[in-house]
Amino acid sequence: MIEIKNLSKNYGDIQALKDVSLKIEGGELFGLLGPNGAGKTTMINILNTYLSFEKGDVLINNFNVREDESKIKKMVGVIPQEISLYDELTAMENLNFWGEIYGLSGKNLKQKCEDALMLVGLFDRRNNTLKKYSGGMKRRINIAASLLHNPQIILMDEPTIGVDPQSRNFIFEMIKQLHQQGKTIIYTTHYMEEAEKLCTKIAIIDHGEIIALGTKQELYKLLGEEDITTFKFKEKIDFQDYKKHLKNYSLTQLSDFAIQLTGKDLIKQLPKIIKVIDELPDETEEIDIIQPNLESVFLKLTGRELRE
Amino acid sequence: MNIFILIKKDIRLFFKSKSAVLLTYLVPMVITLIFGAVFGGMGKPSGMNEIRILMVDDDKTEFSELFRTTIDSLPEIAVHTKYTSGDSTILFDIESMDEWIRRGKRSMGIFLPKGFEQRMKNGEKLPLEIHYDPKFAVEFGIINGIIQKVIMSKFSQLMFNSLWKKADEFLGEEKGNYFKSDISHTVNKYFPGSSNAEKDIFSSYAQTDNFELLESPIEIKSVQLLGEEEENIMFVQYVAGMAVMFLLFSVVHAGSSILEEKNNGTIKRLLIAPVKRREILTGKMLFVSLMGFSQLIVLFIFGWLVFSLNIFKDIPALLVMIVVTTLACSSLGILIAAICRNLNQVNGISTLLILGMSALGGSMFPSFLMPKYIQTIGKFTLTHWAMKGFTDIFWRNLHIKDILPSIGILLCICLVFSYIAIRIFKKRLVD
Ligand SMILES: Nc1ncnc2c1ncn2[C@@H]1O[C@H](COP(=O)(O)OP(=O)(O)OP(=O)(O)O)[C@@H](O)[C@H]1O
Ligand SMILES: [Mg+2]
Repeated sequence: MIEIKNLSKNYGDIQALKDVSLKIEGGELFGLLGPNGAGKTTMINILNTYLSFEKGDVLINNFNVREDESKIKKMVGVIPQEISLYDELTAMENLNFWGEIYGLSGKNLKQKCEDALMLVGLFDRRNNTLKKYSGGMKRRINIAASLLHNPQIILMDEPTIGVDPQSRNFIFEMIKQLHQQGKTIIYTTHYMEEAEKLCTKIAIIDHGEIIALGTKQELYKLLGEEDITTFKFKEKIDFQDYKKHLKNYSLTQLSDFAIQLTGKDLIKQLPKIIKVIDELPDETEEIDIIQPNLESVFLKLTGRELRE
Repeated sequence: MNIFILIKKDIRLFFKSKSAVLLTYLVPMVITLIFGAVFGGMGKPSGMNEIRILMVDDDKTEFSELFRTTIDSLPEIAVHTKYTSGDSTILFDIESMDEWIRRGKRSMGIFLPKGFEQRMKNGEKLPLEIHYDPKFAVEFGIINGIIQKVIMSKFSQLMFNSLWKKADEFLGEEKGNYFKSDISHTVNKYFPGSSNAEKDIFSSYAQTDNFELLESPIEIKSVQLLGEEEENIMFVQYVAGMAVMFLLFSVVHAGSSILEEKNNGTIKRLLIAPVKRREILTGKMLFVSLMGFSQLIVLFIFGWLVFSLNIFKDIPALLVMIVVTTLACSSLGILIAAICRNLNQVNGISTLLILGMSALGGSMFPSFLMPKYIQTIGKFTLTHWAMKGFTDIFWRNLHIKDILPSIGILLCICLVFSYIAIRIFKKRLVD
């Protein structure tokens, strides 16, 4: 179990985490969803004892990250956001090295490396240097290197950045497998689809603050019982114009070309709305009725889109 | 334990990089070969300084004193006959002179034996010994030539005495007198003011080295004091010089792997894993030193195989010098990695620094052939002390206790550089 109490972390003037409190149960696949610069990596690096912090307490399986550094380091496996491997060494040599660093040796080490290569589907290419690997394949080795010592807690920092769809699916399958084995996993991402698809529980983080926390369904409830519809136009629109004509609805501007309407039973009133919009000069390109998703949760909570 | 794992990884990475291996072992061999071939074991001096030589005068006569002051008055040579020990000034005797030369305090000394003046009066060849360190074979050649020339030009009377005597011996008293008056006549006819004429004749002989015609009136006995058995004495210069220079290049390269690991994030990952900062730094320093050590060993063995460099002369001293040189150079490699922010900076700074140090410190060209002020500047380079240590072993047959100053200075350099590098890396190992 991971407990974070009133955690604050500053880099000079930048407040990267502001009074964050979280509880993550054992065996959870926990998603930490937030845009660039939200504080995800900072959080991961505090959990693995790499970063110090000003305020608060962080306990992992009742060990304090400030005091029990070495115990925690052995307990967690950290998959860094950047691929941090030796390009000139082969996959096997890389895994061997990181395995040794985590205290493995001899037959056990060899076995663990081979198992990890199987798990990430690169056993056949184990003797190629990483220079000859694709980005997605490197990512998979990057993950494998942190799993050799069979950590109970796995901290994954955006493990799918720059990955082709095939590798991405592979990584998802791996994560599901690890989850089934009962590992506690924290998975950071700025792709809401990933969090939705994988995670049992999700925290949305923005500007160093947790702005929402819960299961997917719990988060959708934040949207209320409201329906969402977006209109995209062929040319730039005058938002004020729309505000005036649709003043009975809750309206947000998504871009120069798009607006979004939210409201109870919106869908039933859609014919009426379309009529109003048709009377305005802009030509409509697309009308979307949006299923509830984390993107809209984020938008509702912050007034911004998750991906800018 | 972690340290060994880290070193093992670095060694593995090192041998994966063909260019690093070539630069470390093969390139220096090739360059040493080229240097050896070009200079053929003997460089020609250019722009000499005053050569300081010792003199022991066992004759203690007016003429021997005149000889000393004449030599001393030459702009190329300074003659020392005394040294101070405590408060007292002591005249050199042959033992103390030889000792000074052996210890490398002076390159050579002149010994004037008893009977120096007497033999001049007898018209016999002047006896004279030059004791020298074969490292300074070039200087010896110069001094030898200068002395010949001086005797011919400044002591021309002596020349004639010798010549007359020869003529008497060769032609018999009567014919000899003929010959003498003939010569005198000719000389007086063409060169009024005969003493000048004589001088010119003989100095031109001296300049053209035309000694067969007119036998030298002086009998110079040369005494090599050191390294008599050494054949390719100058090759030490090239083998050690190139070894130290390329050692610097390769330790800088190896040290800069810290920057690479900083860039590719592995240092951060190591710190996240159960590895300590000091383990990373110690591992890196040991790796760099180990690699440098292997390089020097390989290059000295190469020197032994190709240039018959006698590396077995004093194995403990050579090993100690190799170790301290490696340590000093490695610490410089790590320091450069600590100071620089990226590999471009490393390349820029190190190329300038290494070439500069190697030129000034005597890696490329023997120090003793450089102008005095360059030699002084050179003393501030690590290369100088490394080269001094190696040449002391090979040329002067000195042992560990004699080269302690070089060893000490190199160790101090290592400590200071390492300390600064560690201080910098405390802040900058990741960011
Ligand atoms: N070493 C650092 N020095 C100064 N500021 C930092 C440092 N690391 C992060 N920050 C700042 O702290 C904030 C949080 O950064 P963090 O890396 O935790 O974000 P993130 O959520 O991981 O972003 P991304 O999705 O881009 O990886 C950002 O404003 C960032 O600029
Ligand atoms: Mg991040």
